[in-house]
Amino acid sequence: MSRAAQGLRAWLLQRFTAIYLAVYLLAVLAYGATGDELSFAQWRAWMGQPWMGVTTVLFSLALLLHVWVGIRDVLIDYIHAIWLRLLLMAATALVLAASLLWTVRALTLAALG
Amino acid sequence: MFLCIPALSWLFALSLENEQGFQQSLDYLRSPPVTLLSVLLVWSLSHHLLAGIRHLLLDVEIGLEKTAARASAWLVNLGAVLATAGYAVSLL
Repeated sequence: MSRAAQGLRAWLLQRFTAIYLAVYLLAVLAYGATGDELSFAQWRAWMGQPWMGVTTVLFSLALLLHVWVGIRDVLIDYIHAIWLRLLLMAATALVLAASLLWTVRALTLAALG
Repeated sequence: MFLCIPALSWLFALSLENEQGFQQSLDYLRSPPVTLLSVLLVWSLSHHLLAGIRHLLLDVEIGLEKTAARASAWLVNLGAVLATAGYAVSLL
């Protein structure tokens, strides 16, 4: 893929993930605002449901991609020392990947009961 | 917002672990410093969300005229402050 098309791909990815993140966030907030305060058992049962698990893993993945594109753009624009830019990019990738895996692990355990 | 992600991921996992972890995560969330941080997070997130919706609309050429674009920019600023104020009041 050409460099220009790569830019377009990131641009499109940023918009598609943005729509999913917004819809999920508003839906969960609206749902959460209507219900009473949850007990641990209710909270775990809710997050353990297949549809909540799948949509929440997708949310985490969309968040990772969205944040990666955003932070990468900021680093490319403002950090001109290549070694520092690469270091910060690597640190960002590490933090995002670890967060995603930790969330997926928690959801998997909740789904298994 | 970026730096909140690992913390929130950790809190989310803790809250799902067991009864004790659930209580612990609630205690963290209700502690004064985290409550203060949450207000900042709600502000930055609501601003980001509203500004993002504005950009998506601009992408499909809605509100591109200068006066409309200026008005929507102010609406984003105002909306985020109102949402944050609403959240802060709900904490009291």
